[in-house]
Amino acid sequence: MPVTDRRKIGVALGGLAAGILLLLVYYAVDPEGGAFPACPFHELTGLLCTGCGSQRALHDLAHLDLAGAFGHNLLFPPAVLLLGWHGVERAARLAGRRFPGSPLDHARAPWFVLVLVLLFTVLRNLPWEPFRFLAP
Amino acid sequence: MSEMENQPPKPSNYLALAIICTVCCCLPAGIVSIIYAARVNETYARGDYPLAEQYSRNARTWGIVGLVIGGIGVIIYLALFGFGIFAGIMENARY
Repeated sequence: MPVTDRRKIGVALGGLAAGILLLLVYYAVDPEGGAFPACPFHELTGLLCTGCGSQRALHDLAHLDLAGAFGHNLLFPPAVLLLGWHGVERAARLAGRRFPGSPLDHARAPWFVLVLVLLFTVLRNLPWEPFRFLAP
Repeated sequence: MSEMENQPPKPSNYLALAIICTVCCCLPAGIVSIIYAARVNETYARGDYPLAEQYSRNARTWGIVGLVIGGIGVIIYLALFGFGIFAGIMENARY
């Protein structure tokens, strides 16, 4: 097995372990309760950044509450799905199997993600009604 | 370096890492990493393979920088508030 492949497997296993650990922690702890530290950036500026609400969304996902997860961070569930797909596709490729190509490999994917992230981040900070549902 | 003249495999653009970084609230580094990911795709499509390799390394570096900053932030934050959390758990456990 080539060294780069072994490194990839190491990184993948590390990522998987970290993901499972996070899922267990956020299954057990409800970030809404106030016992858990909130984002220091939000505490200081009052602004909502892109990842705001993702702790609560992860807690919701761990409890299979999809509506709650989308409500806390609209982009979090799709991001988890995309990253999961991407990871499975890479693992399948390493194992020499076929899996539907990851959308992240599309040539325009980075620009699409950038526009989506910037738009989402600006819109969720607007205090008016049609955008309020984007706030966590 | 003669391999560079032929078409080498496309270097990773580390978009997945950039997305993880952005979601983890390390927003600026995540954005920089996403922009480098886009540049990897563009330069590779144009046939400028050495530049694509360069941007690929930049994308990875910024992704890792973001994760490390985020990780250090979490550790500092937990160090500051961890005692409070622990005290809270103990308080709850008593009753």
